[in-house]
Amino acid sequence: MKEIKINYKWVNNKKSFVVLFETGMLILSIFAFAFMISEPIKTVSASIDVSSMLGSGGDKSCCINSESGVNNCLEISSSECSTSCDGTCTSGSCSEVSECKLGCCFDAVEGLCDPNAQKQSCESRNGTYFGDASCNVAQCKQGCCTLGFDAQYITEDRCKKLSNNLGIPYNFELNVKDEATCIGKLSNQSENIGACLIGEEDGNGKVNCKFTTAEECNEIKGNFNINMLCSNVDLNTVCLKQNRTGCIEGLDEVYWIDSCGNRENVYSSDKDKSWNKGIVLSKEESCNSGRSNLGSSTCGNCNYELGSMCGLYRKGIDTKLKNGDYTCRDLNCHDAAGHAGTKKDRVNGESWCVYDGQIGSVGLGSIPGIGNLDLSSLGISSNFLGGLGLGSIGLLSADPVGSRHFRYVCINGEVKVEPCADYRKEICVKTDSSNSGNSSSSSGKESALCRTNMWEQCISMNGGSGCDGACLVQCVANSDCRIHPIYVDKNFKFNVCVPKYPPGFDLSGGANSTAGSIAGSLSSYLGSQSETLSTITSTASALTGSSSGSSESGQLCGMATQTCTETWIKKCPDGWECVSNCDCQERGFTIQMNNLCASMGDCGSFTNIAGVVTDQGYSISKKGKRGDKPPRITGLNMVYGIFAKPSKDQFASGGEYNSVSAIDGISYVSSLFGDGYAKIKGKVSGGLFGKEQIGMTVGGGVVGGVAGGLIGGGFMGAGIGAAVIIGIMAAMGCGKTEEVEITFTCSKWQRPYGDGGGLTGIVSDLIQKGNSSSGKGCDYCQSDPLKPCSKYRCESLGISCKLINENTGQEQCISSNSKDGPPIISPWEEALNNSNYKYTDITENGFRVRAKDGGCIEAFSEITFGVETNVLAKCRISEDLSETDEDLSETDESNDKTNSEEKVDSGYNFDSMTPSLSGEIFLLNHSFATFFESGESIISNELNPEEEANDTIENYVLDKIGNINLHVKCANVNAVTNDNDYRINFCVKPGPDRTPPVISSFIPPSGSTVKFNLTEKQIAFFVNEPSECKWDKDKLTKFENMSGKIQCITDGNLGTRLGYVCNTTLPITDNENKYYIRCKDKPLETNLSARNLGSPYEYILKKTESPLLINSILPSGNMSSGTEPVSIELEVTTSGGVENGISICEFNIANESDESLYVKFYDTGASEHKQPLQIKKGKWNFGIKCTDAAENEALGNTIIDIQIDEDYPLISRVYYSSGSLIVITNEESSCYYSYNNSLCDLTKEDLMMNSPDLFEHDISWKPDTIHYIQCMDNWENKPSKCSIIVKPNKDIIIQE
Amino acid sequence: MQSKKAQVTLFVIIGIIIVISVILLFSLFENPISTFFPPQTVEPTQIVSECIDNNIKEVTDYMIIHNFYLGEPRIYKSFGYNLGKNDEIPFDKYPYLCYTDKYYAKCIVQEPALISFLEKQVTDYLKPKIAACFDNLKSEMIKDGYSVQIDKEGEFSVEMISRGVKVKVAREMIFVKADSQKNVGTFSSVTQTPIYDLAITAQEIVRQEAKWCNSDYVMIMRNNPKIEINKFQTGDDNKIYTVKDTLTGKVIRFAIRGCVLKTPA
Repeated sequence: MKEIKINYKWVNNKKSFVVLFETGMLILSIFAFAFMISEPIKTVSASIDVSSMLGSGGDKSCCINSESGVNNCLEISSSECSTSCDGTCTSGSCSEVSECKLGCCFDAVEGLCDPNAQKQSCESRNGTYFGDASCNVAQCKQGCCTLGFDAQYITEDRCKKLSNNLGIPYNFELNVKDEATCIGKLSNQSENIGACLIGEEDGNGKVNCKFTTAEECNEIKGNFNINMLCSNVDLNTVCLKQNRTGCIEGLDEVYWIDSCGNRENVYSSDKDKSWNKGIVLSKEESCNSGRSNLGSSTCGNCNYELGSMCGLYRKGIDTKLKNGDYTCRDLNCHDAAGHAGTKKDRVNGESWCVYDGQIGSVGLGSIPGIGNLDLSSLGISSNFLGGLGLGSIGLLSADPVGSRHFRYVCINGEVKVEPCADYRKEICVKTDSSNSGNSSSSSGKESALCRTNMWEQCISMNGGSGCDGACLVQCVANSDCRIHPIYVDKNFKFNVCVPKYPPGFDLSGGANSTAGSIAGSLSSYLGSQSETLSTITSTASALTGSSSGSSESGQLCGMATQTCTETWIKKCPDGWECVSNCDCQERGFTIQMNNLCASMGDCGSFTNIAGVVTDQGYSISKKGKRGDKPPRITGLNMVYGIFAKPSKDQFASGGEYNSVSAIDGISYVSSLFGDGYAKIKGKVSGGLFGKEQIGMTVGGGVVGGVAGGLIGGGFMGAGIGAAVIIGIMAAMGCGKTEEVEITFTCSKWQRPYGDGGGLTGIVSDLIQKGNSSSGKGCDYCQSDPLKPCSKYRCESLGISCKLINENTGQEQCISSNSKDGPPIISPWEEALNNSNYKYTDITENGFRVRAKDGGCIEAFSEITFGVETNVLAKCRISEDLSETDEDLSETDESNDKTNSEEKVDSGYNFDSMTPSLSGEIFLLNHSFATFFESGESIISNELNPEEEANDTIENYVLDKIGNINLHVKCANVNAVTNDNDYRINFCVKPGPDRTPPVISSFIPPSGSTVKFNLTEKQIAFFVNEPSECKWDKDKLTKFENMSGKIQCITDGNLGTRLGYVCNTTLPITDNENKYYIRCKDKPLETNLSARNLGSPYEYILKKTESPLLINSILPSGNMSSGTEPVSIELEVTTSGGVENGISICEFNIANESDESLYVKFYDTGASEHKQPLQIKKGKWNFGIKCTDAAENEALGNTIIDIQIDEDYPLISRVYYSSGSLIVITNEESSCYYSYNNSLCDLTKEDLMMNSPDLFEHDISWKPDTIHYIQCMDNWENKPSKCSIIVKPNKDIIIQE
Repeated sequence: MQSKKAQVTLFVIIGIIIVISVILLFSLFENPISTFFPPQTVEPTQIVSECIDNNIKEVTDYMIIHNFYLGEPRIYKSFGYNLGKNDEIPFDKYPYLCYTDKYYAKCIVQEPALISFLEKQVTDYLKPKIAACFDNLKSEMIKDGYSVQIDKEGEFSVEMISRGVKVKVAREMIFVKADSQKNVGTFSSVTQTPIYDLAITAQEIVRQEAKWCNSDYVMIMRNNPKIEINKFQTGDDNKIYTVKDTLTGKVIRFAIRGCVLKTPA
């Protein structure tokens, strides 16, 4: 052991001691002060590359003219080029391929614009392409076009086109900003209309007249009389007033019409007043102005905006006007269903929003439509709530899980439901009339629209510390976002920008996304309030790797995963005491965090549309020995069920996006659409939102206190005292601090167990949802016909809820845990197709189908029949006829069996049975169709009936037709089939078959054209009963003498719904070939007189008169281009064949003979076929195959040698001639010149030389000036310097 | 009483005479109809017009039934949905007039300059049909004893206009018979069809969808009361629009997919 020697001399030296002590204190003070004022510890950010979730990584290629049916230009992975691209594959994104560039396509002929159109498809249709994909170009600018009595908001070119078509002049005003204003201009047109006198006077000195605009009158060279009706007596026209009433196209009102067919004034039964002495009466001056005049018999001043319009009178519906057949028709919707169960009269064209529950930002204490919540009615005492700190809950985004926004529209008296995109991808917003854009919103009627929910913008606004600074401003300004403040304790507070309308999640995925949420929380908001740097770093690095596979929903919910760190101090003698973030162990922490969690999407503890709340969407953990974990919100969480009740006066705010067109004005929409979650990743990968550094540490405080003491007292004494105190306290552990981490983990909302019906929220009575009569459990989804059930809605109701019959119109949300037993089958009366049939002997095991008189049914006549099931089921029927003759009341053995496998074995295998006519849809009603052959047919079809029959032939036949059983099996949604053997019994009339066979359904149909060089053609057709059929070219040939043989199915058991198939091969001799086909039934019947012969059926086949030819294939031979890939258009023309060249052409590369390698031309189906391609340099051999409707085939090929011209043009000659400088190039070029640009970095903007033939280029010779000339070829190859510099001293410098 | 008997007898006799006369006529003349109704004078322009008219009707009806396409649309959505008695969307392939396979992207107009596309389809279809119309006319006239002179090879143009399709044909043919001469020159025919009006409406819906991710179809209907529009949002982020011409009851349907947000899973 090393000996330490103390220098007592040094100790005794007082000065030295003071210096030493003061130095020590100074050092300690530095640490203590540093602690006191220390900044929060910087957190470490860790992010997950969520772009991989979107599959956007990898090497991209553009497949042009793909056959895979996705796009003209389809972006695929480069590795898929050979497998998935049938067209040309070029490396890079499609946006880099010039043909695929998106822009605006202007159709100059029609004056119409198509935004977001591909260059190639636009130009192939003679459209003019502009680079601005939104069509913000002059040609597409819309204005108000007035044409006679019509006004439209269109482009000027469109206006001209309509004017030309209609033959009337137009007036175009570009300064009219929207459609509604444009249409409104019509009512102010009265100053410009009047009587136009046309033609010569008749014998009585009267002239013809047309009521029109001044412009049109001028056009037709008439004499215009403003504001006068044609029937005005002063005009002396042939037109007599008020001849009849009628509607005028484009106008709302009923008008008087004069005897010349001209419109007069608005109808009024007060004829004189209406006629107004032959002067035009404006709408406002006409009868009952400003009213709809519905139900009026005296006034025809209808008003579309108020829901009436001129139309023909309908008896029993409309009120007839006193004169004529026209009236103001009612277009309004009366008692139209609205939001929150309200009903209201709606005007035609009016649209409004309907929601499933609360929407947007709602406070739990005061819920719109419900008011201040009386929680005592829910059995929750106010004391209890006070204890929970409900007052600090604040807002949350309230759209329930499974909810959808709907837009209802009143159109012509009917309410149409327009569901906005599910999963709240779209929200329904009430539009604002002051800023309506092109949405209709005048006359005070409501107007609504479904528009994209911009929720992702809210997420992307947040930074590492939540939402502060610029984020707060942006978030408040965005009508789809809101600030969500969290204030749990003074050191745990932060703001987050959250979606006002949280997105819906795909609920059908895994049961839980906890892994995702953990990963999300760590990646997105890593950090804790007083963690040491090293701890965070190690935790982050340990967990970030596992986060890459997390789900999007996990990522989103994970944003609300936060850790609150409490600080505890051991005080002496009281023990451990919490000194910072102490409220984090209260229930208020859980509630606030859950509100944030539920606002992120379908996360946390929240309610579904039925008011059923689940509590499994979050968890709370504590790390550290001190204190308690905050309690869960169990019990109170049921209050969230209230959000499933919609409130009457709540609607989504359109904000700045309150019209269809406003979306276009948002500059950052494209970036949102472009990278979606990638933006989330980039912006919100920072640390904890609410990080606040807690105050000083205890140790620091003690040291500080000691220091203070030292400053106030004698240095020596105080110093000794402090040292003693420190020593004692250190020995007792006093002042020691500990941190406790409380983490709220927000994960995906969990669906209720079962069908949700058994876990109805405690507020169900209040909100009248869930287990109410409107629908229990999964059935809730179909409880409102105006809110169609969808996958999302259905799955939100419970784990066992699943949507069946999706996209069939028969959607049902059912419980897969249904306790439904095997389907119970009963007859379905309505299914019987014929009033001559009836069901008899109905038992639980089946029924009989008989004729109305109780007898058997006719042979070979189709009969439809059906069964009903007590539960949703798929039903199938056996086509094998049972020969048993058991009484229907007898119980089959299988009735007692419950094991489904046994059931299948006992009867017919469900899979091999024939589905009902409605197909594989779960329904309650199921129909079938069949027909039965006759007894005679059966006998005649049997080769040896005697041998077949165990008994007599008669009994054998009676068995066959007298007692036919079809077996029905139905499976419920859980694939449980009926226990009993359900039989439907038929018998067929035994009488002789007197009906001749009927031929139908030829393949190919009669009149078809066959190939040019075909000599024979195989055909098929169906006969309704087993028959012997023959053909002949002569219609009159007797059946026995008919020469052509036809093979037909003669086994009665092998019939199909179309009948019994026959086939034969017919010779093709002439251009038009007629065949006569006859069939005789009972093919095996020996008694010929018993057989029935059908009448001859004329069947025609035409032959193609000329072969299909490929006339030309372009391009061919050598081609050159400046860059790769080279765009070419393969053009093929065809002629001949069945329709003069109309055919489908395909091409392949390298002229492969393999059929599968042929790819259809992009533009084909006519006699000209085009395929744009992008190919690289080299020799290409394209094989062409064209096929027409008659299967005529023409083959051809073209060889194209693509060369890339990478050489710039050379100057072959330069000379002066007649005042001009002439430059000759060795290839077609464009040459530019400059007098001062010695570097020759000339561009197309520089002066261009005249190039009469592209080889020769000239400019005026300027003496005393240097001419710098640079030439580039068609591919823009040019030298890096000047091609030539021509100096006035006649020195010529040729560069490069 | 007697006079009444005589009257009846007279009627019976007249009846018998009429019956016998008809029988005689039918047995004596091989073609009684032509005997009574001599063939009408053949008007070549009218014959060709009718022929072209029928073909236009045929092709435009087909195109309406198949939602603007003569062949199979390049990109389509197979869909069928029963929304109730009047709103049924029968199961069919509905062409995408605006489509993107991407999320967060506006749809790409698949048939820009739609009218031009329709006119081209009609032109391609009519080309051989018009030739056949003239061939048919030629053979009919020859059968009728005319000799045929063809002065100029035919040309034709198709233009779609509101409520119709206008076809202009220029083909000079002269039919000469001893006593008469008939000409076919330049003429135009307009066939009634709502295809243009349906297409213009479809194009406007597509324009709005491509630009704004939505369409104000109620306003479009307001501006054109003859058109009825229905929009249906499918469960998989597609929209099916039904455009109906109320005057003819003809309907076209098309699909749109664009501005689709991803559903977080």
